[in-house]
Amino acid sequence: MTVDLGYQLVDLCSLQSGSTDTSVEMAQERITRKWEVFQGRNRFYCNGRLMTAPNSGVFLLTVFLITLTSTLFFIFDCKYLAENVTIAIPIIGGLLFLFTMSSLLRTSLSDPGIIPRATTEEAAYVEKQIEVTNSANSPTYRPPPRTKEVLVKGQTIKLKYCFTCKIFRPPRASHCSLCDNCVDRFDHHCPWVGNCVGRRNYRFFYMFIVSLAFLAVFIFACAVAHLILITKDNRQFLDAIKESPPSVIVAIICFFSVWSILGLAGFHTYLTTSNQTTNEDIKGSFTSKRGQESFNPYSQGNICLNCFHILCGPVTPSLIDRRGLVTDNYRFEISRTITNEPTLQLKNYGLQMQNGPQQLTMNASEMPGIYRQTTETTESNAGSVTHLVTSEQPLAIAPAVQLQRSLEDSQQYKSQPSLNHSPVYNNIVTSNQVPLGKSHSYADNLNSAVEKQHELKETAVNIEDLHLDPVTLRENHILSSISENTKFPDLKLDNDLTLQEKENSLLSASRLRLLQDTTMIESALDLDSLDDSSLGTNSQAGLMKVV
Amino acid sequence: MSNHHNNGSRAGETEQMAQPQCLKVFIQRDYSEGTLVKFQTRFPQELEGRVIRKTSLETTINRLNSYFAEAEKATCSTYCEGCLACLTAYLIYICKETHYEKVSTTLTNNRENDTDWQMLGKTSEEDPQARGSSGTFLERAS
Repeated sequence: MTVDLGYQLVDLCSLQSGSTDTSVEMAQERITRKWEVFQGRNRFYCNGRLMTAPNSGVFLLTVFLITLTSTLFFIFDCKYLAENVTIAIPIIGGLLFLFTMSSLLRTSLSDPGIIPRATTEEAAYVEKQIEVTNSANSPTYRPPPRTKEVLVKGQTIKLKYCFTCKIFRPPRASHCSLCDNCVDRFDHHCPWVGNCVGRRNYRFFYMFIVSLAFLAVFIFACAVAHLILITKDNRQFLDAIKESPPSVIVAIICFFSVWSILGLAGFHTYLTTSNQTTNEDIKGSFTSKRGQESFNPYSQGNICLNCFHILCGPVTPSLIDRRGLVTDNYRFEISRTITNEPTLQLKNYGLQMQNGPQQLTMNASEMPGIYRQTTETTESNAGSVTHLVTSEQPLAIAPAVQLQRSLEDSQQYKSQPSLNHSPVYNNIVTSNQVPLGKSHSYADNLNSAVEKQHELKETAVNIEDLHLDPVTLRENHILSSISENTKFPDLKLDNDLTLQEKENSLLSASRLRLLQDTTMIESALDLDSLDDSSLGTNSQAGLMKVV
Repeated sequence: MSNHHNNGSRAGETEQMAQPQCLKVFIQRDYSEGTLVKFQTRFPQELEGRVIRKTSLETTINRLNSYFAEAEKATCSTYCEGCLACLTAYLIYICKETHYEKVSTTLTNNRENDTDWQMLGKTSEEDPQARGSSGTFLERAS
């Protein structure tokens, strides 16, 4: 059944493209390329040659703003300045504009370094490798560890398991929730360029930011110079404005945008020289915690080498073979993974989600028997030795609470096809247990939602909002909220932290806020993988996680 | 409980596998020297007592690693290439292939003539590079 579904999906995709693409029709057999069956949310153009993130509205705004400002500048200011000052001004302006647009387009239309999802076989293999032995009559089921620790140049790095891509994310990689892909050396998802910024397009992004800063300053200076030159002929400033209103518009646009661009350029210059990503900087991955020395293992040694390596080093080829042909083998390999994933619309990441965890935490704090609290939530990331799972603690069973689950409710979601079949990851199977633990399939989520509704009925809480919300829940959110809101005496969230760690968390939070103020980055970062340790106790950060 | 699921998954796999007699082993990445592409040379347990010899697997993986090391090596010429690309506003990438791509093409070409590689039963469809986190090795049970 699952395979059938997969093929249907494939066929639908290929039908659409077949009608638009003439070159494909030329061939006798209709060719399906891999981008047509791609599992992320990216959009592809020109038969897979170009790719970008789903919502590209802000990207079009960026292009529009840059083009508008530059056009006004070239038509009005440049003409005057070329006649009265020097011909070099339009030449420099033109070169800067071309460079900026070229880097912008390259950033947003190329592959940021997406790591392909595991095939069914690889996922099964990995699952087998990390399996832990459970005693048969143990009351709780112990899921396999979802983190793995590796040594990178002597520094312990925790690799997290990605439940969507079914791989242990390589160091520095992170999952972008907007594009639904793991991206290598993930920096952030930039809505302004309409793409993730990762290993493959960071240099383009950096050059775009820097050249845009130059362009903005240059245009601003030229526009102001134009206005001043007009007033030189013994005329009032108001007359100058009247004579050349476009210069005023250009100057105003540049004046307001130049500050954030300069700030961002400075920030990314700092990141480049220290060979960090925005993600790592905000999480404070390489700041020393609990007296443990921590350093950046990816640094090349000195500032110059870091810059060279990031901006001019070798370019890794794209791992997703977008234009490759879909063979039957390939189709088989990915077919099951397609149906495993419910296609959630992006809208679900919006405001609705915020209600979910709050409702749940009320519930959780009232029934402490269900959720096993751990003090591990305060463990630092790099300092841990071999603790297994922090955020994905086994929490499966609620023996105290007998759930009266009515038949109609339990069948409410049974119509969802082929969601419970996932042979690999369905390690919490329940008939009458409450899995707050990571539910790997859509149906699990839905069923647990139903069960939670019943609990809520018992505690007389309004259930209306909860009906659909838990679908979009992530475990991390729930647990972090729980640890914030519950008042367990043995939790000692604050007491466990050293002074330095508190400072770190404050620092990261303030950086986060700074970035949030200047850019649109808050929607962009991979927030669900933020460190519990660095941000978990901060209420601001807790909110951010939920967003 | 875990056993139950494990069995379930295995059963499901063999039913739907195209080639059930194939054993696939996924060689994991070795991150000890950073994020360069490098595969572990540790011999996977699943291959014990099979046709593949420990040494031949090791040589093959080492050769693979050396190719990737060559491709990702930060030399003067790659830096110059990067600078040149930057100066041309990255338009040069449209018409010229990078050092990395050249090396990976030679890797693909060499692999077809590589006896070790064929002994491992690696089909040409599967590219170690195509997987971000691990490489794939197939063994045909014989």
